[in-house]
Amino acid sequence: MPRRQTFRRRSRIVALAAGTLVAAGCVHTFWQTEVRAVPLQARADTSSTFIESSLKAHLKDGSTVLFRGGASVSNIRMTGPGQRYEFMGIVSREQNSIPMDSIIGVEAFERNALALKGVVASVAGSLVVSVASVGLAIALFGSCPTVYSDTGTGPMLEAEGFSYSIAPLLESRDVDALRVRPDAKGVVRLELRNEAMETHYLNHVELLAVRHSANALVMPDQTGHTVAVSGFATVSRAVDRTGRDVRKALAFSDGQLFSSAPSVIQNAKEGDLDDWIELDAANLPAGDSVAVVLRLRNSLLNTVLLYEGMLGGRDAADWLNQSLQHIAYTVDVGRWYARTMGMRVSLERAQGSSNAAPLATTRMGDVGPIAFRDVAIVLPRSAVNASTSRVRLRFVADNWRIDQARIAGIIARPTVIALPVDSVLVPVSRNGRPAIDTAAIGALREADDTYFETIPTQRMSLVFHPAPAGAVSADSAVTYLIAWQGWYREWIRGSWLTHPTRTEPFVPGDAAVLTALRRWTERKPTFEKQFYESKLPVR
Amino acid sequence: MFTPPRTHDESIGAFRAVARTLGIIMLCGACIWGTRPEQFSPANKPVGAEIVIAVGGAPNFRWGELFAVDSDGVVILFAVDKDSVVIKTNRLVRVAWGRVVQIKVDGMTSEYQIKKGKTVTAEQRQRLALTSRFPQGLTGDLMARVLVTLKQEQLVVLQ
Repeated sequence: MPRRQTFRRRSRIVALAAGTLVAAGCVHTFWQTEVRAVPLQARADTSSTFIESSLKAHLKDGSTVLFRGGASVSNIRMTGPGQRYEFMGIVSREQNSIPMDSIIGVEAFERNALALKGVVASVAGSLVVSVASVGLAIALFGSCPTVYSDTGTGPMLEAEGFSYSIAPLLESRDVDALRVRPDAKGVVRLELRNEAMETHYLNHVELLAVRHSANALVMPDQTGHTVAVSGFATVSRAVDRTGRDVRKALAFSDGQLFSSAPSVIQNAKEGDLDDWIELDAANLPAGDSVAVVLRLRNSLLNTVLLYEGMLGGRDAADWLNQSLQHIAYTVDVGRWYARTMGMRVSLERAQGSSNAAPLATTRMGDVGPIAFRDVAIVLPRSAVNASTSRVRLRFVADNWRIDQARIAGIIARPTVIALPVDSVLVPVSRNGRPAIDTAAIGALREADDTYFETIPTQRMSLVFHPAPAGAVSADSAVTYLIAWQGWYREWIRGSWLTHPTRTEPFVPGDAAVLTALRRWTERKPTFEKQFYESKLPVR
Repeated sequence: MFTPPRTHDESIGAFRAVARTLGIIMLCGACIWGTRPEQFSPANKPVGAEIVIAVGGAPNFRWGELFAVDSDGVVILFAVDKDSVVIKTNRLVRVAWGRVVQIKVDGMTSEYQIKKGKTVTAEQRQRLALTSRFPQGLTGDLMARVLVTLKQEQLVVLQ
């Protein structure tokens, strides 16, 4: 066999073997630290015990002695390599022995392994060989869980969930309006898929049913609460930062998408990354609020920020496993992301006002680059029953693809009926046959500590039984929404390790976003094509 | 990002490089979760655990260091935002249990959490206390010394 063929054959075998092991799912090892009080020995007991755990002795004078490698404990003293910190001190000195009568209490910090606690794996089969053959270094598509419905002409993408919840501490809940309708038997079915190189941990899924007037649209607002909007006003003006008239691009949900002008992208700099759109509404019906009704999704800019910024270094695994497990760091990253990305929507003052500050501001987080989302961003009006409004949508340049933008003047909070998952059907289980995944049903019914885990290429049907709609009049309708909560874990791509895009630790800030923007702009067309084409086929 | 498979020449060294790379991926596929004592701050420093707390009536989660836990509430050294940079303000606050909505402890499992809507038991208080800076309690002289060190005139109490 020629040497080139031998090399390729061997590489393929290694890739298949490695891919099989990895694609079969992570080998989860859960460690937990437990803290217990060490019982102090009675005076009559003169024996000595060596405790291997990390020990912390609290002394009567307020100081603390740490025995990180453990210590010998008797009724007279504690002995071992120790470090003493004076009261509220941060500098230590060596102290290898302390009398027990100076100790108030001792804590032991012990390590315990919890195998797979709180995680229920799906019984669905997985195209393990296909994942390996795609090539771990190639697969790019990343998202989060996706949900499809069957329109009768094939599966239709309905929503993507918790797109940026990449660590347990970032677990979040999303609400998405659906177009699905019950079938002839009154059953609502949604197909849940894992189409990416990720492990998904779903905590809770429920279907929300909302009965409303036929002329209203029901969707989540910027906080995820359900709202019914109607009374659409005339958008008399829609301009972006360059002054472009973008009314035509935003008028209808027609696939003609707004994206930032090249000059705005080019001129973005640290301290000024933003683009914006101003919308003027006229002829608003009476009311005290307005809703900016958007149909939009993210561009792949924040995917580049995630993959080539946050995860682009050889420390990606540590960043996911360690840094994002700690509250302080995760709070920092979360707050920076929330401040910088997403969209800020403000109610602007009338033109000519001497005060430039907006009247009210709210914000919406990123929604993900896969599925379009309908959302209503609710703001107060400048005055009750004001018939005009000016709003500004502000966002990092090129972070959004907006299909439609409208202004509604009638906002209602409808009654929402929450429906738990009734059944989870796996069309192809690990033994090759369809199955009902009873463990999944239990895991998905409550927002608790039990998660339903899915790995790449798995899919299953979530079945809901809404109560009969009763007599539906011509002027009422029912809209369904999915409310789902969880987080997901990116699989470390081979290319992140062999061709890291950063060599310094990731630092959240404008510089990171600007770098991602430049990278994204340079290869936008090819990157988009490769991203959406590398979606993993489900089994 | 998309990276086409490298085309190597037929050297064994290149093959080994590919195997090593995939080996790295296999190691990363071993998902290790949770916190070991060597990674847990209170086990390695004279500090309490970092916690995130939701306080009834306050809009956002707050985070800080857990100083003490008792039957009245929790004592926390709060960190706050200033110009988008999280800094400690040396502000020691007692939050009464009636105002505590939720507590999560950095690096610890849900057994150490105070969950929304659940009544806090004595066992939970005791478990949480063991992660605090002063598990023996913070009252009397000890509290006075802490306030002097923090240059705080009195303990702020959220009832």
